[in-house]
Amino acid sequence: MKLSKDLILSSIIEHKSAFMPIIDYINSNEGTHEFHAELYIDSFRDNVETKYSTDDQKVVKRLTLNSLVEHGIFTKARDGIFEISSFIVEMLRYLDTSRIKELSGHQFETIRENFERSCYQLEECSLERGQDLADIREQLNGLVADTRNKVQQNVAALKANADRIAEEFEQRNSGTPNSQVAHGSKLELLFRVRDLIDRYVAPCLQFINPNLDMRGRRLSLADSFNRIREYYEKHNFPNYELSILFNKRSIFSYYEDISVIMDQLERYYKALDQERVQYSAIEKAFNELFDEVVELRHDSEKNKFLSNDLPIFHKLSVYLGLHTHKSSMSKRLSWHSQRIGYQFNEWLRSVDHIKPKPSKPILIEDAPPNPDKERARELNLLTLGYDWPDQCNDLQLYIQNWLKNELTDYSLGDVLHTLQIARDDFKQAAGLKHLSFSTEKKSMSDGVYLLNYLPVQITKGQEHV
Amino acid sequence: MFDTHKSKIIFDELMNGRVINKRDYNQDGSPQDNPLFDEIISNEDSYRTQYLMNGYQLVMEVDHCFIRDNQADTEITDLEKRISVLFLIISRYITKNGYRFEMLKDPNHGLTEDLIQEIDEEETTKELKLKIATDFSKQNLKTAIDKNLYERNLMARSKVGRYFLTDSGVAFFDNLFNHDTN
Repeated sequence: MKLSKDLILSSIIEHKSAFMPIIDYINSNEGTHEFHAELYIDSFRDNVETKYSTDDQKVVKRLTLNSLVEHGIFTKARDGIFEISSFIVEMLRYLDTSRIKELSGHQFETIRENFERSCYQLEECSLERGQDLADIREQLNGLVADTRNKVQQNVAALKANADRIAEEFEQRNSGTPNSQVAHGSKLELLFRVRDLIDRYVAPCLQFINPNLDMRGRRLSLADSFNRIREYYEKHNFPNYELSILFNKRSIFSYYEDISVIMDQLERYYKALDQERVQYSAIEKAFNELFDEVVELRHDSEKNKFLSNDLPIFHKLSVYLGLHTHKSSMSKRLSWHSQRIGYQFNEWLRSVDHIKPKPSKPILIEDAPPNPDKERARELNLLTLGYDWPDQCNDLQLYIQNWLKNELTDYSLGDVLHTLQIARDDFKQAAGLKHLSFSTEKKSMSDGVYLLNYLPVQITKGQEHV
Repeated sequence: MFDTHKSKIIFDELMNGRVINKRDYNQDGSPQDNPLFDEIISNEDSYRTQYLMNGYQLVMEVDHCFIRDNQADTEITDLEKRISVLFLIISRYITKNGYRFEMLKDPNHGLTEDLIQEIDEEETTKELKLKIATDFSKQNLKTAIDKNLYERNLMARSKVGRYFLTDSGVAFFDNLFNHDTN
């Protein structure tokens, strides 16, 4: 029984989910509108039949395979194979933009050629024969309207596809890089992004590029529009000129949208590709290293360690020569053998100049040895005619400080010897300066000996020793 | 003019086989300029001379520096071997198991102790450790990371105990990725 087309179409729209598997199948099979009957029967059972009770079978009957064939929605191609009407495909794609099939480079090229042909036909058309111009204009108007719709739908399809990829990508990258994603699925996403860019986005971008230059007599879409507009202007068709100008703007306004999609996809591709490069570089280096380990599994090699000279370690080398230098006291002993003679002599020479210095003075609490004759002579010469101060609270300390300045290698023996000279000098100057001992015990050191002493004081006047 | 206080610390760092990075990290993991690296950069000639006079070569890279024996040819040191093996063990586990490599660079993520434990339990990890040195095979992976990466300033540790790559650690992988690309 034939039903109203309105009823059939509204039922299809209401239960569009039953038809989407067919659209998906078409999209993944180079655009052929043929499909296996089982594909629809299964989908029909899941999406239509189970939703209605046995008492309410009107809609179910409208959407059976036979009913749809009867109403021209499906056509039987051969045994078990059916074909779906193009307008239903377009309508379903319109209802679900994510299922719109993107235009390929070949399809864009066909549209461009059609425009080019129409443009040349228009330019060569005789104005005297008005019918020719009307035919070409009709053809052109159809072409412009069709192209505008296709580009609009294509942009929607690309955007839906790019959004889907963005969602997957962001899901992987949202907040935590710790989230695990199998490497295979990362690669699959990478290939999908590249495929979308190369097969659909780049051709579309090229097609509506307003500045595209083509070789020879070939005209880009922008060239065709410009020449058509110039023709109308030249032959004084202002309405046609305005119409073609608006249509051109409408089509080319999508260029920015496609550019944004292109940038977005390129960004994802770059990030995914970087991960691929990282994965493969790490995997390659690890396998190279592990191959060396495998070599050392055999009995004779079992107890050996990986050699530092393996090529893989040189390849990975970034901190060449890094090690704990402070612990390596072998610095002077790690010279190269061919220069050992020279460097060993150099080492001997440097050692000869190093005088051991105890880190802490070893103080000997004992009388320091008297200076030898030569030293005593030196001290005598030094103090010869020395003008001792008139007043001093600690003559030993005064002498020590003085000798520190005068001699580079003074010792406490020198201090005691000089003190004796000073006392002799004071004896000679008796009456002018007097010496006395303080009762406060003090000590001094030269780094080797420690001297405990009662400071000798110098005073002027009549004090007695 | 060089700073004697900083130069003493720099000396200790470099002589102990540590790398000085361009940046170090605050408690919250945010990076900041490393004053020791700045000190070296500002007085590079002085520092080069200092180490040259003591038989070392100051190796200045864009984002890190260290010293090596001036007479060293191209010999890989034991330490460098351990570093390479550890970095490969860690990064391989990360990428193989579907994590992003970038997590190793992120102070807010990085390697947790649980993850280190998981890596340590891998058969390949055990076998590799056995082939490096006896003492190395006896250490658990965390100790090995502490001694060879963390204490050398190749990895840093966040306040919650997660390890992440410093500038010099990143340089290791940059070299690996560039090597593979070229």
